[in-house]
Amino acid sequence: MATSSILNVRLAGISACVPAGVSSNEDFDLIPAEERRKLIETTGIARRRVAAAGQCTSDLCYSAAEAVLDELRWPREEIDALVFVTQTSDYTVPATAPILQDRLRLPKTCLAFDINLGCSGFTYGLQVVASLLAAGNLRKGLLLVGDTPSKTVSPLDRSAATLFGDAGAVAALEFAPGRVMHVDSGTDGSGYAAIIIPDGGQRNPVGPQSLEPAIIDEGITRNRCQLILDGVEIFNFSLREVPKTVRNVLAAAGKDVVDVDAFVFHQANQFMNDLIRKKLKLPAEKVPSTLRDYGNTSSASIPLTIVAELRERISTQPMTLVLSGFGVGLSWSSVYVETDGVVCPAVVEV
Amino acid sequence: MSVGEVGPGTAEEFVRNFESAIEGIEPGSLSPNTEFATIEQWDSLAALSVLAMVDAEYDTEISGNELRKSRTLQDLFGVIQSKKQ
Repeated sequence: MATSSILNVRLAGISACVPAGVSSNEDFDLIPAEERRKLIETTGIARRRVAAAGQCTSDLCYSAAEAVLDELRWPREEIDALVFVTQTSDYTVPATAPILQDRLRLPKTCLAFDINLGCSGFTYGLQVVASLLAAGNLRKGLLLVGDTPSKTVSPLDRSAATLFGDAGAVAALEFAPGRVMHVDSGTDGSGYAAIIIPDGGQRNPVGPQSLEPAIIDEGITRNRCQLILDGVEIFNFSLREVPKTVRNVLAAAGKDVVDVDAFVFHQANQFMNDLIRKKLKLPAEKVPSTLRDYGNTSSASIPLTIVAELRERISTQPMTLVLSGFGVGLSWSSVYVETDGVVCPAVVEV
Repeated sequence: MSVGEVGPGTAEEFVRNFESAIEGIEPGSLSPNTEFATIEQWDSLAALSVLAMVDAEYDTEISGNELRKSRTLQDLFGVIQSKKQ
């Protein structure tokens, strides 16, 4: 059964960090001006954050973690778990989570591992970290999520380059008896090729041919170490699965749309997110968006949207939230969570 | 319902839905035999708009492969009908 309840875990803190570099879609001259205007209007994405050379996802997550840990005043030695969700790790080997454990001065008793997921990664990660804490043996855990798609998407690929932005984010969770979180997750690996970087793993090891740019179509040039996005398949998948998983998690929680303060979706693009919202008959004011300023930031998009759009409210008032991530895998995951004053520093820029 | 009849679930109705799904298309300017790739407004965003219309109006989907194999609006309508049987 894909729907489950996780007991005894509280969302204590949330933070997000973006690189200072900004790239404007208005300047993306691979697309003619009139078409560019239409694209910005449809996707809702005007600009994106771009990491500097040598600036990794882990650097963004490190800064986000420092910001939230400073405000939470958690003694670092009390942190029992660190889970890092990314598809842009520092190295192929080792995992990046141990590097972050050391850099954040977390104790050697801390569990630390990576998860390779993208747009569904924040909600999946919440489920994993909350499950680790639910029994009360581990008391405090950090979920770090994010990607730097600017490093893996071809700048000469008009089908993908205007969509993605770089960001990292953190959720701090703690054991808190009496809490209930509801989760609905799923996978359809038959669509694994819909979002893929073909070369660089062991199925297709990197060779000289991997780095040769190929003209795929008009305005689409990329090599085999760069991201391929099959827009039609992702679109069909999202319209098919996301309304279903949101309904599932609401049913599991025994709640209706009116009971929820905000529905925070993975920020794919405004056209798709609006269609999902309309299919679920959600009022627009309950569905915040950060697409205009940040684009699609993979696993960081949900926490970044919470920090950028709901910071005031989530830090001062109780809130009921439905969070829903969906994408690469293909995979999806929705979470129903009630909060009661979450430590939430402003978006960090580095 | 026979082919050519105007009404719910006909090719003509699909053509009207198709026309209203894409911005800038004159109502009545397309027919079931129109090859959609030749329409001036046809691009990847138009394709997604048609997929959204198919989801909303017919509660089904046209895959990337089916889209690539189709040439005319009638072909697309045929894909929808094949899934409704």
